[in-house]
Amino acid sequence: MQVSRELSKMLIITVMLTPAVLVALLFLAVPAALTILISLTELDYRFKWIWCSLNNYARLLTDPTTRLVVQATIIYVTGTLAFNTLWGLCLALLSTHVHDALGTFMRAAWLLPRVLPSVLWAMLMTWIFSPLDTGLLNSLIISMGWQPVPWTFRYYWPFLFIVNGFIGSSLSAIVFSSAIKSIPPDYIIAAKVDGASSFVIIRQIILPMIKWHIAFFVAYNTLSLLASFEYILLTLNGGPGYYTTEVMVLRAYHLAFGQYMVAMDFGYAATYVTILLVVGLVLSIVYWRVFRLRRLMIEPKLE
Amino acid sequence: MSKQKNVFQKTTAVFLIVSLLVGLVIGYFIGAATAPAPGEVVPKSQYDELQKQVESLKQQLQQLSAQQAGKPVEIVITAWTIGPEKESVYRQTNLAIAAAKLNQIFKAVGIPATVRLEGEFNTASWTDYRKKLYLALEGGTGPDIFLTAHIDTAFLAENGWIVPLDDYIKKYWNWTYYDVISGLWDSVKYKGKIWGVPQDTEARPIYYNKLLLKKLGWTDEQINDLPNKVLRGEFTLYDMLSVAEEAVKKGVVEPGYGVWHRPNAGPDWPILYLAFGGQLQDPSTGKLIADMKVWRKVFEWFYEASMARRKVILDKLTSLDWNRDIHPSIVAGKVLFWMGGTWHPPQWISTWGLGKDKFWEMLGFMLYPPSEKGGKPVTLSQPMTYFISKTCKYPEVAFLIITLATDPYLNSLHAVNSGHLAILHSQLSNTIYTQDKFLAATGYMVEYAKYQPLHPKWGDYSTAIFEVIKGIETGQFTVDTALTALRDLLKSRLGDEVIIRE
Repeated sequence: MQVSRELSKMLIITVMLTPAVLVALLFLAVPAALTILISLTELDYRFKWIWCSLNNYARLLTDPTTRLVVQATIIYVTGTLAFNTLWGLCLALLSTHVHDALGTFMRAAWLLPRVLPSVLWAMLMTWIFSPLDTGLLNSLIISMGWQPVPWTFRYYWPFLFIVNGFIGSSLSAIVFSSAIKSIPPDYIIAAKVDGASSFVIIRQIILPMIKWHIAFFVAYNTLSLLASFEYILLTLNGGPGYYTTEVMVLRAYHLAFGQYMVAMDFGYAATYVTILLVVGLVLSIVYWRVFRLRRLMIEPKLE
Repeated sequence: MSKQKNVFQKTTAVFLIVSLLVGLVIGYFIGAATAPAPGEVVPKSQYDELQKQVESLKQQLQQLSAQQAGKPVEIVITAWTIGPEKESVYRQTNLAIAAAKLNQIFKAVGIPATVRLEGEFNTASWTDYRKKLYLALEGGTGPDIFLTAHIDTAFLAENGWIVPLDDYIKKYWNWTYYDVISGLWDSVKYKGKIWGVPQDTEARPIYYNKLLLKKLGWTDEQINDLPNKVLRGEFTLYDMLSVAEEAVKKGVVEPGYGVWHRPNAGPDWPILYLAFGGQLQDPSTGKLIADMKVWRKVFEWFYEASMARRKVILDKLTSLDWNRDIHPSIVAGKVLFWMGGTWHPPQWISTWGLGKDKFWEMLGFMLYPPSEKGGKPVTLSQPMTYFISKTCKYPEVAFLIITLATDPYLNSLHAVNSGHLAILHSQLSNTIYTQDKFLAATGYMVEYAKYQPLHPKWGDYSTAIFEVIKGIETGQFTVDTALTALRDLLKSRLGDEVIIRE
């Protein structure tokens, strides 16, 4: 029996892809489908699938907290993304312009927050930036004779950017620094010979050559931030005050698992998550187009 | 002649001694034969009554034992209870003691069964405990007996997770239920049935720092008369605000440390609404009520107290943590008025190292003052309740355990250790209870205590109140925007289960 090469090639590819496809189906597609279905029900502490079509979405539109929640999400995602990308870039540039060992050490040190258990990191940061006199910064400030600053109470967005940014920027630093290191040194040497300053080298050579990496990271981090709420929950819990830092996915968590009388509003929470799912899909497509990520994947015409 | 007399005397003496000895021996044997069984003297009538009451249970268990070839039935009852404060551990211990008592009763009456109590006393947060409990009840792996606040009755009953207890209570009325303070039954009555047995109750007073009041210039007499002034309607909520404002202005307390309350959602939030005369539930329809005129008064009070006006309530208060910030600050004497609960002093004394004498020296307690001069003070109670779940295989046995735990001695042990109040009339004359100075001093508060309404959507209403007041204190809301926010939140979350009265 002669199996054509085409067919055997397809077979091999299918077999190799099957595990990945199964995982994606089981852990991504099925939960997504279930979430969308739950958002069409009144599933809560009664644990009954009471179909209510789009009532939850109507409730979302009339809910007085929706506007604040969406606002918080936009601020959080854009701010943390900017911090992660720009600071990661800075770190990568700095750590690749110094001695190799020092650079590696820098990046490893910046990995520490990411490696710490999130509860520990959150406790540490809330202690450092506590608005009361007992926080680390405030006690230092008071000992120098100045007035204590209400860090997490008034400057909560910068606080959150720092808490999450220290985690996210370590990843971008590693990605960008490895990208920078893979730039053929001839370009840099040639530029130096021509008398280019460091800034010019960075702007004209390095940045353009790592643009794919930056684009990838921006796309990846946006989607990841849309679903990130761990550190907000552990530090500010959506506060201080009335829904100031309550991002959409945190709102969903609170509705489902964090209510005082444990009403477990799964249906309504799933509504927020479904919307995030749709936003994520749309953004992925937008990024795909805008960054022309397709070109990242096709085989190079020249090798 | 005298020799004969000697012999006669000797014989008589010997005869007397021998008969004495014989009499002693006979008497001992008679005594031993008629002595009651060691330690138990029960009038036969009571014993017969007991036999009659447990007759059906006895038959059921005898049948089960027969099915097992005559081996006694081993009954395992699981019980979950919560503090979260560790001082309330008797909620669990009393059940274990009751199970031991039940075993003795079973032995005395000849029921072929042994009861063992297993389970846990939880010290996690209420939200974590409720989540664990509800998910277990739904999944069928829940406990047979569990303790939770009476306010959960609506959820538990609506979901069919618990058995109504009216019949058992009627059957075992004479054991202990005649003794329960009658107002407590209202806290567990939902849709015409009784769903749980009250385990304890409490009151939520306002604690005032006597040392700070002294610094403010109050005399000892004035300080000690303060709770009475509240009772007489002479000291109002706004008077309290003025005192706190003065303390802040004179530097006796730091700005924002005048009046403190809980930093999270909880039962206390409707108290001021009740103090201002608001009604929470419509008795005919059972729907919840939001009287916006009363809410305006409540929000005006909070707005006046906030850092935007009199600087009496800290704006960061709702971001603080119970154990890291709240209790340590109170114990350190930094807060003038604290809206707390009767279970806090045992916590302060036991966990936060406040000496008992120091407590009495530093803190006094009063009801929530009335809103106007001549009005009535108010407080809130949230009785804890034992429930029996539907999955319990031996509900009558579980009920008997709860019944035996609802005992004036056992309950007084719990009350004294944890700062909760009596549920039985006979506790009020139990020496352990009456000797406790704090319980004696707070007992009167139960008369003024109201309950939260039993309704499945009460949690949404209560949380909305908390969220809006949080917004007022952090400076995000004025009184008008707060009212709008509350109205929108209630409409959105409760729909037509709430009656909004403008």
